[in-house]
Amino acid sequence: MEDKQIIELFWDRNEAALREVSDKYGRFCFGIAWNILNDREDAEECVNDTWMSAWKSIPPNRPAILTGFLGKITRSCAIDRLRKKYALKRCDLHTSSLDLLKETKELDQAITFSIEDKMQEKELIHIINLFLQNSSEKDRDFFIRRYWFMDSLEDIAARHGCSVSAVKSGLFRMRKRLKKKLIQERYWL
Amino acid sequence: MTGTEKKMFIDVVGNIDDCMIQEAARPWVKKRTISLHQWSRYAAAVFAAVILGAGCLFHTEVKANFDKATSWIGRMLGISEDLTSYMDVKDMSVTHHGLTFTLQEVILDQKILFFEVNSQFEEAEKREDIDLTFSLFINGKEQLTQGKILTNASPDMLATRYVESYYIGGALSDNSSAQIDIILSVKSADGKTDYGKYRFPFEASAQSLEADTKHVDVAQTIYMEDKTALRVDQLSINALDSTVHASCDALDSNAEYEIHGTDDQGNQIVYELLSYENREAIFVKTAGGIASDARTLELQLYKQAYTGTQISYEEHDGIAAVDESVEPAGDLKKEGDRICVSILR
Repeated sequence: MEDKQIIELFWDRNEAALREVSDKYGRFCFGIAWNILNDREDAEECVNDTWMSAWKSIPPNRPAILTGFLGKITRSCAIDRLRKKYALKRCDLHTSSLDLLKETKELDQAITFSIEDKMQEKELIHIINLFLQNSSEKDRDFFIRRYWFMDSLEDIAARHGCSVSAVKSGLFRMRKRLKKKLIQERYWL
Repeated sequence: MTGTEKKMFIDVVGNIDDCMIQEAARPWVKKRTISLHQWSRYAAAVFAAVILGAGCLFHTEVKANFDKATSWIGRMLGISEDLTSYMDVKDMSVTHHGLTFTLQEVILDQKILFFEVNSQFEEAEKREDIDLTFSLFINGKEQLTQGKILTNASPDMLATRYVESYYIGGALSDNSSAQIDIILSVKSADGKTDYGKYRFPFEASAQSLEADTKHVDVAQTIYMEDKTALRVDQLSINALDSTVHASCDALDSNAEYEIHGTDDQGNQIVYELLSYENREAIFVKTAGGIASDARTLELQLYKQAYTGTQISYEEHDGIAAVDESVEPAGDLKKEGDRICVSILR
């Protein structure tokens, strides 16, 4: 079913929307949640929460790109769940998450000081969008697969048919370039 | 998470544009894009050929149609009347509220576009500190600045020179013209005066903008301690900047690289690695400069290795924060032998 039709079902408050969205986007959302949580039960709950959240927010929202809309809900939900589990000492962060946090530690400096100001956060997202739009397709894919989908380096290397070190190298350059951009835009303390 | 809690990079990056998420959600296929603009040029050329060919057979009827079609072809080719060539916009000045900006130079060096503008206050007493933001659009798409703004103020502080560089990738093609728009947004530093936008729109091809960049073939290899070979292919020099183009099979992903140069007059220049993709490494100038009449340039490669040591964790609002960042491993270290390049201009 086309996304527009699925969104219409949501707007009509037709529960078939949940079945359709689950059929079409279940695997996609599960993949996102799994990458973050590495736990089947948690990932499945996260996906169900995504459908519920979509049900509550459509209407009034009418997302132009359902993939991004649902993916963002799943991703955010999974990160929240991971944080709660970690706070309750119910889990250890799996190796992939640790590596990822280590990679982005330096970029966190640019983020943390500006959070009280929503406008600044919007500007920051705009800068990151512009940075990604102006990167090569391959670099952009490396970056989004790693820091949005939270794929492992091995999975990204397999996706691109290149070595893990090529992926690491590409991501290193991207982080360096983004850091330079953030410094220039005065988002770096 | 509320707006006042601590966010991390992974939170903020979660809100990137939906289109890019959708793109990355698909299986990876290296795309080869033929733009509508490019296609329309072919279509316009074919249309023009048909009209001209028909003109030979139906001379009188075709003449009127040809006149009508001229503007259409012009639009298809991107040569509408309000577009200016680069030579027309070069040295053009725009003045708002007594502050003039002049576009001095636009130069391309393969994938990097440089432009120079000068600012000039008409009256000394009106001089004030300004906040200046540069934007560059090519065919409507905003480009990414490299963040290099060099200023060189005149002794009386009335005039200032700015050089800005942009990594534009393949945004410009060799022969066909693109619409380029340089926009400067200017406000007084105290926020009281909005000088508005200074626009310099023009049309140019990559070939025309690269005419003043000299490419010196180097073809010399630097062998590093770890047996990696960096082949320095080419050195580009123009009035505003200089770039080193090199190639390498496997640069260390946990290191940064610099090339330090000294010309035969003792002037020093530093290049930093900007991008490394598909073996191609581009080093851009970050400090210093070469004399315009320099004859030779000696280049020495340096490597700054980085290391991450032990990882420890602490909790902030329920999130594990990694209490370790990547740190430089020792000092900047010479790699391989110096190479000497003849740069007679």
